[in-house]
Amino acid sequence: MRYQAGIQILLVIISMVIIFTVVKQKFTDIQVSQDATIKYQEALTKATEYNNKLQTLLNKITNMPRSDVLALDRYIPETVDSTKVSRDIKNIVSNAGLLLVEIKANDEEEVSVSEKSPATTNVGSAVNDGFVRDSKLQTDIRNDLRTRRFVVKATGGYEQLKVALGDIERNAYPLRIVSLSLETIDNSALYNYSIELDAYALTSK
Amino acid sequence: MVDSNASFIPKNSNRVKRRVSGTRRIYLLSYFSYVIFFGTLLTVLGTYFYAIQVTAQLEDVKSKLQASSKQFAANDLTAVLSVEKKLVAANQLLDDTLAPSRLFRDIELVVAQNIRFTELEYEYFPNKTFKIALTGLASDFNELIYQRDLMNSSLLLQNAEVVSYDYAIDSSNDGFSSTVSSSSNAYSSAVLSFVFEDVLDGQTISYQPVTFTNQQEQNFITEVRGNGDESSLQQQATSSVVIDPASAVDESASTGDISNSNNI
Repeated sequence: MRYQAGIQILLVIISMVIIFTVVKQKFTDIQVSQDATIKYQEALTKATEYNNKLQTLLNKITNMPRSDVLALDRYIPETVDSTKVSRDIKNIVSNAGLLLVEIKANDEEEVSVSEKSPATTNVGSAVNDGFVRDSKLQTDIRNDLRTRRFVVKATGGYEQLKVALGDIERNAYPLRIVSLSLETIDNSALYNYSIELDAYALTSK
Repeated sequence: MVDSNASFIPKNSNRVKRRVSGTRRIYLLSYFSYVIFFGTLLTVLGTYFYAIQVTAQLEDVKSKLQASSKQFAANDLTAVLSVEKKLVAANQLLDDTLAPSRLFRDIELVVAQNIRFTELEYEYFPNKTFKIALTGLASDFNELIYQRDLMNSSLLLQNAEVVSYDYAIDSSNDGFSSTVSSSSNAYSSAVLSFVFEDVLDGQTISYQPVTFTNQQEQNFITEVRGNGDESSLQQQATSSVVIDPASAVDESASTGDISNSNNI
């Protein structure tokens, strides 16, 4: 009788040992595996979504008309070809009937273009100072964009200038008119023009 | 009354012994221990197989993820990102693009007859504002005041201020005074120069892109090939310019320069 009782107690002890050493450990492993499975499943879902989205976007790009792709590449080139831009400016100016006096390209530099800032740029007396450029304007630097400034000097009539400006604004790639000044030549109907233009490129970093 | 002992069949002397129910021993500890033990064994087996199943699921998901990542082409992503960057940049540039030529239409509407604008300055600022300064000549202050009143009726330049002026005897006969007002003796010998200036929001002259016709689109996409020939360059310039159908109307409608257009 005592022998049987000993066996029973031993069985219970062995069971406890098995539960605490094997079963518990196994459950922990299963829990870890299940957690990992859930994470992998989530990752798989996301990967599938990304793949689908990428495929959709890729299809969109593939289905873009060739003309649109060319237009986009032309609108935002990877480099500003100063020679070509100068040639185009010269042609625009000449086509408008202006006499191109000088065209000069500055060095390429990164663009610092801001979002519309609430900071006023009209500092000081409006009558006397008129305008003072505030150098502390908050700016968002678009590092990817690079710009090259072109200084154009030309001579001609007022109507020709308007035509030239219109063509510059409608150019196939952006030529931002940064500054424009004109003054009469000896009270004639002709004017001297000085125009600063920015051309842009998107660096592929 | 019937006597129960009066049976004609002789009674057996052997009596059926009634079973006496004894005390039955239940070994609870024994059951408990066996249940625990075999239950544990079953649990071990169950967890073992369940772990195998879970591991198989994990491996399956892993392999699917690997397959999915293999399917993911970095080149495609680069291509998409490149186009997206270009589109975003193009959109941003288009939003920021101003059309200073729109200023002239407004200026032409408010130039007084006796006023002659001799200089114009336009400057674009990074915060999407721009400065416009107009330097002009008048014969006297009344004309300047009249010009200022006209400016107030302008759509764009209504807040332009006279930021400086200079009234001086004009020793050199530049032809302006005689052409402007021959009836004024004082004017023929004195000139009032002034500067109107204003800083405006870029939205007021934002550029509005136009749509293409097929032919214009063809011009737009035509690749420029330079060979040094002037005529071909002219053609190339035309091809590099986005044509605005509305411009033809505008250009044909515009007349004269600032000094003599739209005299009010």
